[in-house]
Amino acid sequence: MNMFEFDDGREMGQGRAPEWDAARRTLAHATPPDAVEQALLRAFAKHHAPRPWYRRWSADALASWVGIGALGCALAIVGMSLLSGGAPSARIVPVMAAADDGFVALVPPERMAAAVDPQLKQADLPRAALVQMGIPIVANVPDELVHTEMMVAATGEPLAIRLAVN
Amino acid sequence: MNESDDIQLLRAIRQGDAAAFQSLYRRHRSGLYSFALLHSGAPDVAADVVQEVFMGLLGDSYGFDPLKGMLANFLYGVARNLVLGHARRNSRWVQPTGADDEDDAFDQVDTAAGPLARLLDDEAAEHLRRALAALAPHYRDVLILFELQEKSYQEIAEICQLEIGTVRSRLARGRAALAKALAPYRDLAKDIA
Repeated sequence: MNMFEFDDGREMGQGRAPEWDAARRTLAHATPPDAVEQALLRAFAKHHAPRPWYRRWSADALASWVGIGALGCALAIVGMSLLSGGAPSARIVPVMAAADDGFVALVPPERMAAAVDPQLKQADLPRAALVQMGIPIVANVPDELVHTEMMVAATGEPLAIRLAVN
Repeated sequence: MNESDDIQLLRAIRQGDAAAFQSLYRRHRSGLYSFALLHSGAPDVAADVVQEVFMGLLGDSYGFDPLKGMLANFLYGVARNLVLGHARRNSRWVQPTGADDEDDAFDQVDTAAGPLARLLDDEAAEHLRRALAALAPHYRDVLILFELQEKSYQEIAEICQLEIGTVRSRLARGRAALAKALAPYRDLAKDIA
């Protein structure tokens, strides 16, 4: 044994005092009064009682639900924008098809392809009419004339149109 | 007592299982009550201490961490602090009392023993209580945990937040002081015999 450690007395022949054995026998079945257990069980029931719905809406719960709602809205907006981007409107399709040369088709592609000897004609058209044809132009002054170039079939049917560069 | 059973009961308690709470209480109530009773000498204080220990466990206000030690030792540590708190607030329980005002402190007896044996045990236990009350609380802690609860040095060090060397030294000094405090009662018993 380390010289700085102390013996508990047993090694020095002190042994356990007989009073300890008597206390152990006396206290072998010692328990707190039943009222203690009953009080604890009541406290347990109160501690774990289900809360009414309006108490469950704590600030934390509310914050998390608001967060979930905001995320849902953002996802919905993104989804809608993707859907609208994936299925362009009827007005935008011709613009995109003729975007290479600036022409907006006014007839289906098969009629465009079947047209014989088309000709390019100059024409001044009102802004409102151009908007109706799908030309991306501001119609704040509907009656103002805008200089355009039109592709016309031999039959006189307009096939496509574009804004002319003056 | 199996520590893993205690941990399983604790998990069930946190999920709202009242039966688990009752089982855990019944597993530990006797040891904690005996410790507090012998330490304070007052049954009402001992009952309060046991109730406070489990109330704290229920509210998780003591922050038990299973990785830092056994639940039983943790509960003894809490009980020790509560008993010492009671003693500080009311110093009559740390002073030796010659009065017979708490003769019912040890009225829990082993019913299997005969009447005379029970009487003698009660008397010896009462002498022990009075002798312990004459000791400083830090000797009482170690003595009760070692002699009555049969805790190891390591466990006592954990419960009382002491070094093992300090536990050994307090135990040796406490036993010597207890023998001195018990001497008058033993002499009286010899005279009567």
